[in-house]
Amino acid sequence: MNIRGRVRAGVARALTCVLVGIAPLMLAAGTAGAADTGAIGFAAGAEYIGEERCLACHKNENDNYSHTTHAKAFRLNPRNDLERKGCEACHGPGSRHANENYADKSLIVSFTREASKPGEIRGERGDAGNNGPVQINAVCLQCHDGNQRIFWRASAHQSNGLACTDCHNPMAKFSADGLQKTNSISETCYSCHQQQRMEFRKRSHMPLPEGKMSCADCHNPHGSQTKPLLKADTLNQLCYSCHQEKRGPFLWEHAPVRESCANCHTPHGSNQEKLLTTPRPFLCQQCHTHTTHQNNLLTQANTAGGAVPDERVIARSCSTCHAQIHGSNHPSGVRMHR
Amino acid sequence: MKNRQTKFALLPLVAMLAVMGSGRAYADSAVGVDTVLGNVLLPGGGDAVRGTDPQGFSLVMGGKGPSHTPSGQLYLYPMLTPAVNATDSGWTWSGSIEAGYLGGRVDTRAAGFREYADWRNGALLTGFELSAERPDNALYVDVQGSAPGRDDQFFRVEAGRYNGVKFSAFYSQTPHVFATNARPIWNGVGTGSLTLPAGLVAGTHTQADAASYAALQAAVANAGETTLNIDRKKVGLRVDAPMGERLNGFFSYTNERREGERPFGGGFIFDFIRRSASNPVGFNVLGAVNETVEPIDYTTHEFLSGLRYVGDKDRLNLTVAASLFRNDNASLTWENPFSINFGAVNANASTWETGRFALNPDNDAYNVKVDYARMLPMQGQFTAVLSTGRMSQDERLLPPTINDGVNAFGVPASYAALINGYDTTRVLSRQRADARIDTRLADFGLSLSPLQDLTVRAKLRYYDEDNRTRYAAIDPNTGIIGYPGLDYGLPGVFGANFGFYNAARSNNIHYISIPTSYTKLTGTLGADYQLTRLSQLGATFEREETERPYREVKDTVEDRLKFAFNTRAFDRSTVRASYEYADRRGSEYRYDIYEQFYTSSRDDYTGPTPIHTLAELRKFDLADRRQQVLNLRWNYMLREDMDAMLSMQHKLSDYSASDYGRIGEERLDSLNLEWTYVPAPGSSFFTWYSVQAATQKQGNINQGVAGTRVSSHAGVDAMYPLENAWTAGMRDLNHALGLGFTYDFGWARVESRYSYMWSVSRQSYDYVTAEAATVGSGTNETQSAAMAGTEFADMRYRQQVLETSVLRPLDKHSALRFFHRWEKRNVADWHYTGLDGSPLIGQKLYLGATPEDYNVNVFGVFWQYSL
Repeated sequence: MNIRGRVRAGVARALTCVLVGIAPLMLAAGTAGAADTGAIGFAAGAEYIGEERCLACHKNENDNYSHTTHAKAFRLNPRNDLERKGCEACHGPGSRHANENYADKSLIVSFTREASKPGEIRGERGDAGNNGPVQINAVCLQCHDGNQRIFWRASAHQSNGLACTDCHNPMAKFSADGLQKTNSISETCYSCHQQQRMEFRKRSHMPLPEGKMSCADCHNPHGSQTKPLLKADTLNQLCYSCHQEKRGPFLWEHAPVRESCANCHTPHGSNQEKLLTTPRPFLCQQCHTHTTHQNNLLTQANTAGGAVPDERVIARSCSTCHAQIHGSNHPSGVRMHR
Repeated sequence: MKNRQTKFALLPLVAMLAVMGSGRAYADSAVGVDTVLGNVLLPGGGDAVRGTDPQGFSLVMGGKGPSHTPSGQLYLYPMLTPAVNATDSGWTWSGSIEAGYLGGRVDTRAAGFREYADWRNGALLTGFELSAERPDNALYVDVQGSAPGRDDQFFRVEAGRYNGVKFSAFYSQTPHVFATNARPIWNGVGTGSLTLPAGLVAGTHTQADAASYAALQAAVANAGETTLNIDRKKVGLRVDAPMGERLNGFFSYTNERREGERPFGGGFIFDFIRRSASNPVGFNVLGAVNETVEPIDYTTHEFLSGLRYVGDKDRLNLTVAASLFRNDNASLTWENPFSINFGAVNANASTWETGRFALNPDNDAYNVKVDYARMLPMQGQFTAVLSTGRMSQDERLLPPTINDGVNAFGVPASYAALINGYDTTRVLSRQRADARIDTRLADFGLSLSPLQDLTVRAKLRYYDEDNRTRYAAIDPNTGIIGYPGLDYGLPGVFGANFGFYNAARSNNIHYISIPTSYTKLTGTLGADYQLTRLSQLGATFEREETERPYREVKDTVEDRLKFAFNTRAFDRSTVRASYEYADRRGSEYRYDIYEQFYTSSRDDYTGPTPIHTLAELRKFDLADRRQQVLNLRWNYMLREDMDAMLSMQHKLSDYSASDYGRIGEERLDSLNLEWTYVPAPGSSFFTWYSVQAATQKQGNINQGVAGTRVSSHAGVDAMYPLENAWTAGMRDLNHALGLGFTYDFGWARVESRYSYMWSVSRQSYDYVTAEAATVGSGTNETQSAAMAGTEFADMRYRQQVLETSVLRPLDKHSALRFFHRWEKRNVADWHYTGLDGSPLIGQKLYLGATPEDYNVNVFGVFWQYSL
């Protein structure tokens, strides 16, 4: 049995172990709570008072909120009792907030940093237990669990303590879609991923700054089965979403190309042409040293304006002759020439 | 053009699922692309006419300052809400429009300025939006668009019922300009056939004949500038339908056309070879290198359908995807102007008039995927992903060459006769590609919190990519193994041994395709421990085993250990930090792994043991590597209305175990700072700065030239004398700065943003003796140290953009916006140094598509109206 067979057998055994091991838990799932509703704390004794009571004070908030998807759905076509609660669907029962001390946001569920100040022990004095991301996310997941967020739990963003409201602001319409906290998906992502903001300004970049793509074209910020939150099974399958012509398969494959586009390209921006990690021909020479012309040191003398111009340096460099570098479908294309 | 036989094998299935069956034709964060419809003037799409609400967030308690996200970043003040108009029919509606004129030095031809945007002078409808709804039955319609008639236009329509069925459609266009200064000499640019202009005769022009070369020079000088660009035009439809409270389905179809052309290659044979130092551009010993133009005429049909179920304990996503790619050009044929001459003056010339590429074949891809999650006790969750896919193509193959035979010096007449006639598919071992790759994914995850403060995580992932493509270059009629590489250029110039297995069975050629496949098994164990209520420490161990049957390292194992820490325990801060150490190692390095696909592996092979490569070189994607990555993010709330952020990354990849290939330490260090101040609704100030430095090093050995071998490299043969060893290094440095403000002066609102990007990339090299800089085998050229130098000219890139809008309200509904954008770019790239003068260098013909500097001012006047 080759290693592929052994790997498959190993996976089968591992899967069996996993399933047997968690079977009791799966069977006991009847005792599990839906979503994370247990993480949501309400002020002790608080009761639902209805949206009209909220709007009596929060007119300005309502003016902004009324134009959001949430408001439209909750008010015009609620799917369930929770949505019919309007403001209190997310903020919890508001009687104590309204009747006792409207300045004390701890008496309702709140979603901002100000409402979950450190140093205060929440939930132990009968307040709403505003403890930050855990409660915030649990509130949102009451409706938004599953679907695009099926892998939210244990995802990179969840395990790093991000809250839904770190990226979204459901109280007003800032963005065309998705109730982002800024006017675009990419700007929202840049607010933490500043390195990528800079990289997208390099000489070669995908058209994010020009508004023709967003980070979410490639990444699912709500979690995926891959570590970099990719929206496909592998990096290459993700790249093929837009570059289908590179998918092939080809008669003659270029091995590192088939395995990972990132072997040669850096997706967020490069100072080289075509998002390359390293200038040609040096990129090619990091692997190729066959006994013909591949391992010669090319120098500044080999530029078009140099003493000895050489096609391996000029313009497309190696790709001038090896033009089908992503794979060739020509019967004589073994060297990617045709 | 070829027949377009689109196979819609899955259409009935996806249609059925569509009938069975939330989201839009765009903006699904889990599957598909098209998550934004925008352009350079409306990067996030949406409404072009919206100011900030002067009342801010709230009027409760006399109003309050901006709030912060849980991590401590300022929220923006909300935008003004659009006025809603009522009608007697029960529909309410609102809308806005911005239109005007764009002018100034906007028509610059610099490709960089127009790469992804359309800045043409003229009338411009910047954006419009019309929304209508009928509250009594929750119906709505929303229409948006921007820049009609321009290359970066987009439109979208969405209609449906809130919390109900939703139909959406979009159209989006994206320009991709490669060059505006290309000067191809051929007729037929943008088609599959490039022919030389009148006055030039294919296969005849050579430096050995001054008159014929002068004719070519004249043709090059007379070639007009041509824009090479691709337009992406994509239309999409999607329906989302809830089927009860727990189940919803969706179906989408997108059709994308890509039309245009891009710079491409086209070699017949080296031009650098055999030149001498006294005759550096070559003379009498001449090749043929062409930079051509590839036609792009692609159509892609994408079908995406799914069901999503959310139960109390179980969640399930079923997704079916089909992607059908069609290329209207099966091949690119071009006429080669050059005569190839490898002998004495005007002797031994070869006249290959035409070359032909096989362009990207039509291909199909299908994928079925099931995501499942089940809630468990102890705040646990079990997840499983099963996915299977297939990528395939069965394109009709081209003949091995477009030329009818070898016609050159160095090929015995008897053998030439034997290998002539490869311009037919009869010599192919099969007529169609029959290429296929199957993919399988199984991924299982488990997370549990056995203790209140402890969460444990486990994950097992199996991915397999099985390449089922098998092709052998054997003529079924004669049994001859091989192919006329470079349309007979290779066997013609270097002899029949290059490309064809000779009668003596003594030469080594690659004649069987390599079914590149791999299998990856990844296991992860991790735990997060709640140190305090607001601080968490995590540790994760991951092992990834990869098997690549046909790569130099059959089995690699990478162990990764990661620690992560995040805390909100500080009054004004959130800190997130992580450190990962990874160690990748592999089984024996098989530098001759590909031999099984070469004739040297055949039983009848009689030649010497072949030398495939420098045995000590380690391909970097498989090489032993130790890697450390440190990440830090620190948010700090300076004041209620001011925040700051610092982030950094240090990445160190150690290839010290490799003597050649990528070697030493590869570094990437980034530091980013940001400051934001929002004193009042309508006023904001920001600045950010990033610096990034990267280094990379590599080594190689220039093989010995016959008669110049000095010593043997231990363990290999005399082909790689250590004296010819060389190293090269890349140093990359980037600075980026952004700053801007929005301020309402009462009489007008001013918004201005400036960004500055400065990059320099230096490629240096070092060698023991000047022989390392000898152009390779078969040449007579040796560069002196003075000629070779130690580095290329710096590759530089600098871009500045200053964009300002002054918005002057006219009345309650309308305003004037005065717009200015200054953009300046300077770029220097040694790949193109010297090409500005003439794209004809020796017997190398280029497009001359050099990157251009530009300095552009764009002015616009727009009228905004809110309906």
